[in-house]
Amino acid sequence: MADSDIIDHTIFDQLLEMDEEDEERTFSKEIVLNYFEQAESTFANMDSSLASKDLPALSRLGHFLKGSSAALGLSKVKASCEKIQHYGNLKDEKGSGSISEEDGLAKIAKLLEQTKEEYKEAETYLKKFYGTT
Amino acid sequence: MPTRPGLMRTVTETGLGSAPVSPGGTKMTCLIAEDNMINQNLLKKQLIRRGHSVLVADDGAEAVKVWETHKEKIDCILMDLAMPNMDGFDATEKILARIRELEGKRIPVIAVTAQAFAGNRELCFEKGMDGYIAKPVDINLLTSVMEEQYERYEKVWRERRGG
Repeated sequence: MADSDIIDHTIFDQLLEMDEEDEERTFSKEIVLNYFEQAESTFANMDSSLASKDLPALSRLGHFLKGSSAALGLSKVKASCEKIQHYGNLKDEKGSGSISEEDGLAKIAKLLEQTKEEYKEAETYLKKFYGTT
Repeated sequence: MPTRPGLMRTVTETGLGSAPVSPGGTKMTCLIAEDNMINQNLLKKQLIRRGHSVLVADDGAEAVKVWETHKEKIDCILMDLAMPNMDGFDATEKILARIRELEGKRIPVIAVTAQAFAGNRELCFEKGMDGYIAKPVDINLLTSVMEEQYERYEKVWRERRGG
């Protein structure tokens, strides 16, 4: 799979620019490591919210992780988080129309697993980029 | 990078970076209101690198407090919309109301958001915001809007004071 499917380099390169002359890439690496922690925590909260059928919480969490995913150029994770946000608001994947709570929960349950896979793919790529395991 | 919910960080970080200030050259003190630390830290670094100074707030309520404490030096507010405790719309409303109450200089409030709802942009402008930047942030576009709106209010202020 081309890495352009995983990372939007137009955006990720803007993050790398912040490292300036630092070959260790201290700044961007810290941002990325913090993103990993945030994503893991957010997915755990999404699992809990899904179990308790808390759609507003799922929407908020989807929106939250969408923002940081977008900042790092993780296009697929961002897109999936946006859909979770919409489903949690009982909208369709584009944020319009109206769906039932049951439908929203079912769609999120399925999409959440996909989002985690997309995240893992990005995490693997980024860990390889920074030479961490 | 720990999150510190509810803790006001009043330290102003100042630009010492090597990147040139964007064309126009106005160095500003910006208040970033953003609950996601990834986004907050990245935007802070991008602005500091361009020679601006930065104050931060983790939510809308903190943004109002930080603005109140440092209003004399804040030139521009970059406001996330969806935040806990108080969202960006309410925080903007409160700050703009206080500016009117104090008959102070209007400053730009620019929405910086990952919101994707139809009509969201229009709502921001209805609430008195001066710009709308979607995440991921195009820093060149953001700083261009910041300077344009800052100069607009500077001009109004000068005219009001007869200068």
